[in-house]
Amino acid sequence: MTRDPLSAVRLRGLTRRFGSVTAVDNVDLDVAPGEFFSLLGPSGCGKTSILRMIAGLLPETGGTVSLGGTDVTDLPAHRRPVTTVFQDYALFPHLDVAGNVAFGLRQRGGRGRDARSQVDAMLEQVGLSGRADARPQELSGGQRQRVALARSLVLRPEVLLLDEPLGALDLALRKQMQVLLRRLQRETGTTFVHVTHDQAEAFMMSDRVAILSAGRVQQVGTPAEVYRRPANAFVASFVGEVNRLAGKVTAVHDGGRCYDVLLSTGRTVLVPGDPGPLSGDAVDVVVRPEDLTLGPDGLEGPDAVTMDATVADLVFQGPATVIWARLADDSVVTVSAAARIADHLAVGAATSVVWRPRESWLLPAAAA
Amino acid sequence: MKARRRPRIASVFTGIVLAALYVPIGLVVVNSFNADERLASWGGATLRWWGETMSDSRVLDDLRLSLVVAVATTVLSVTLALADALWWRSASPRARRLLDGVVFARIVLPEIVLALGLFLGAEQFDIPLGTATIVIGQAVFCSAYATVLIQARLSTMGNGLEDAAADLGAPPGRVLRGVTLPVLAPSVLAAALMVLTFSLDDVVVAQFLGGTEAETLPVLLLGKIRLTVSPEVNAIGTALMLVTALPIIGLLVSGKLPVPGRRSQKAERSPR
Repeated sequence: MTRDPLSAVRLRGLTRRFGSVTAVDNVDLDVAPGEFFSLLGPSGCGKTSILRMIAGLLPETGGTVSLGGTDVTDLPAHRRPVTTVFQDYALFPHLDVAGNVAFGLRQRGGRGRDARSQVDAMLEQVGLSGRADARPQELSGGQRQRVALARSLVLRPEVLLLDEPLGALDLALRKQMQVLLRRLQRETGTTFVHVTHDQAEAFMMSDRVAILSAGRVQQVGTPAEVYRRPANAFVASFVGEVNRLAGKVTAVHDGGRCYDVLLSTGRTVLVPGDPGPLSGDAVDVVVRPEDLTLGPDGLEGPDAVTMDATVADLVFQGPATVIWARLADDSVVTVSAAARIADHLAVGAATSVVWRPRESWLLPAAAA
Repeated sequence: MKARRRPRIASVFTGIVLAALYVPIGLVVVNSFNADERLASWGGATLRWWGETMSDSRVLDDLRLSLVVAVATTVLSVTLALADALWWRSASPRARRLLDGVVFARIVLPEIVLALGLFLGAEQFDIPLGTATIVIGQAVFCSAYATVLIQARLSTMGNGLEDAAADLGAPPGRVLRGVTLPVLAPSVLAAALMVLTFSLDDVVVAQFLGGTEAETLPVLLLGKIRLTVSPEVNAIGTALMLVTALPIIGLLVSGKLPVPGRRSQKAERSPR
């Protein structure tokens, strides 16, 4: 078997239809070995279907799945070198914790002292040494989660698939499990493919993420890339709050890396973007709330833009205050500023919104 | 807060109903030790009827046949039910409706109609009546009840556990043996007990399909009370009761019988 060191998972043209509904639509993806990769998208975007097709638990309508350079599209689930941590854990109720963890080893003929010590070591690693004889029904949600992890990881899979593994846990436990997952991933060097609808969780844990919507891949990149340079309006708003300033392209620079944009407030600003829009096209300049601030605060340099505004509403949130500021063209932008800046403000007060266009990003105007 | 009034009427009615159900049964047990031959009053305690019953070779033969039939019916019914329930999951929607229809028809149809149909069918095709036909006849309706019980468990189990087993490297045969069957085991046991009980007290099918040779204990009992209610009948009845009730009592005591709505005792141990 030839091993491709550059690709742990490779999907080409992967498609799945349920009746007339296309859940996964012609998806191409490459996951590098040892990577923590997240499939991020709203519910119903097809992310779980993709995961199940990688595991071999859902037959694909079209396309191919390769693992480590080997086409496994026609292999049944039990012969693929991947394991899954299921959303509801799917622990075997008739086996105790050690029996659950040993289940996969037994399928490979692993028995006796060697298998037993592997199980013990794995339980130690997830912090469940004392619970080997417990039944899954006797465990808390977080403990079950760790049994599911141990059961999958003890087989040393080439790829571990995680299907919203933290969905059923409360916040404190989620944080704890996120740290544990990251640690296990580093310790074992296993490729993790993780499905979630939680943007913060995906960003915190992943090396790279793929943003999915309606069965299609919208963008693949590091969390920072996806956040700072979204490929389209869906990605921009899915990964965080965003302000859109409508404008029109007046000049294209650097072969489409930079644009002069005439905003509806009458100002022309220089905004970075991806090649595509032409001079005269309607565009949106997207700015994150935390890239906006209120003036004057001494940040105004030669590249800063100041817009007159009135405070429409504001909410104190502790470290930051969120201000909804009404601009001259009557549009409202969301500003997330350090609390001290907004201390003296009240609803209706006149202020100014300051931002640096080179920290914003240009997108084609959203339809409708 | 004021304590809610106890529903006294409900408990009175429950008491009456339970008494109406269990007093006659108690009488049968008591009368099996009654020395008064006409059972008109309590004539002192005796083991005479038990002695006569246990030395009556016809009673013993019939008891043996009843047990053989019950065990055979149970094995056949549970096997059929398990196959039905497992097949149902992978069947097309149309095939599922067909199976549902066939199962419920066997439950809804009066037993007498089933028995008559099987009897006429056996006559038609010259199939000799006897032990085998009783077993087949009883399995026709017993397997339907067993199917419903096992299906209920199967539907709460879902596909998740089997997916997980396959994902961990278990080929389909091992998934069935290592996960599906063990998880279904409580419902299979419950179904087996139910079929055992149904079979042991079945009169209609045994009467129609037993022919001249194969006579089960309930059929003998029915024949005996047609003439006179002899004290011996009480002893046979009590013996039959013991045979049916013992396994269930044993399981209830050991806590292995899955009672719906109650968690098994293992699960009740608090996690710590």
